[in-house]
Amino acid sequence: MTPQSSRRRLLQATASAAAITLLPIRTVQATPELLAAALRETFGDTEIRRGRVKLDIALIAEDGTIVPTTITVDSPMTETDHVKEIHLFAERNPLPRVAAFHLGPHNGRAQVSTRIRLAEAQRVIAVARMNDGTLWSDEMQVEVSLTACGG
Amino acid sequence: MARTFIRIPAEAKPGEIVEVKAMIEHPQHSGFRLDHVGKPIPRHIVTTFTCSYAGKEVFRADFHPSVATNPYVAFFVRATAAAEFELTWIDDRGTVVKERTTLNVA
Repeated sequence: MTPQSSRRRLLQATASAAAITLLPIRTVQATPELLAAALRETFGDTEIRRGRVKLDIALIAEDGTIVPTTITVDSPMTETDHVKEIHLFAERNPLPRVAAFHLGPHNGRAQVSTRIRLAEAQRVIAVARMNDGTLWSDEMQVEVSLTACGG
Repeated sequence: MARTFIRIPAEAKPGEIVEVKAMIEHPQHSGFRLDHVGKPIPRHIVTTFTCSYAGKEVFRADFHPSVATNPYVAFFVRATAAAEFELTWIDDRGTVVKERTTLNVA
């Protein structure tokens, strides 16, 4: 064996080891494609329009492990005109689905608050389904000081 | 098992919209994190929360691993009559936790 080839093999081995180490990180990250797939699975081909929904999160989340989130939908919440569901998605978490809330006219006000995890700076999307079947949304780009992963 | 924290007003006027706040103590292990020796911590999350008022479901939440530790949710309910609120949490190991409280409407 020449010193040249053993050096080459060492380099190859190092490269493949690095690839293996990186792999699990890559597989647990959602992508815009995964988000698109989740949206399609939940809403089919129905058009999602911007408006009527207000997503309220701090622009810079201090702690990604606990991010206060409020969704408010402009709706009279009557028998004939109300929000049926609110779906929350995060584009770059391991799974894009965060939570879904089921409401009706008995709620009186279409507002839900919760606390979510954000693995890194990313787009958060809220989609509301009305009783007439229309879909309305809002989204926010949230920066994260301390991320929810790697601990 | 788990401690819960709920806040619902004790009294309301007919037609008044009251806020319900509910939290349960739960690790909400996402299944994506590793323990101190590098072994994955199995997923253990609250998957469903429901609120019924006067025997009827008025709110339901489906939680996924991206909901923070000690799942918290706040929402509104229109007070119609003096009746009982029943809050139920279910986790992915089948644990069910229930809390009840009465709202006086006058």
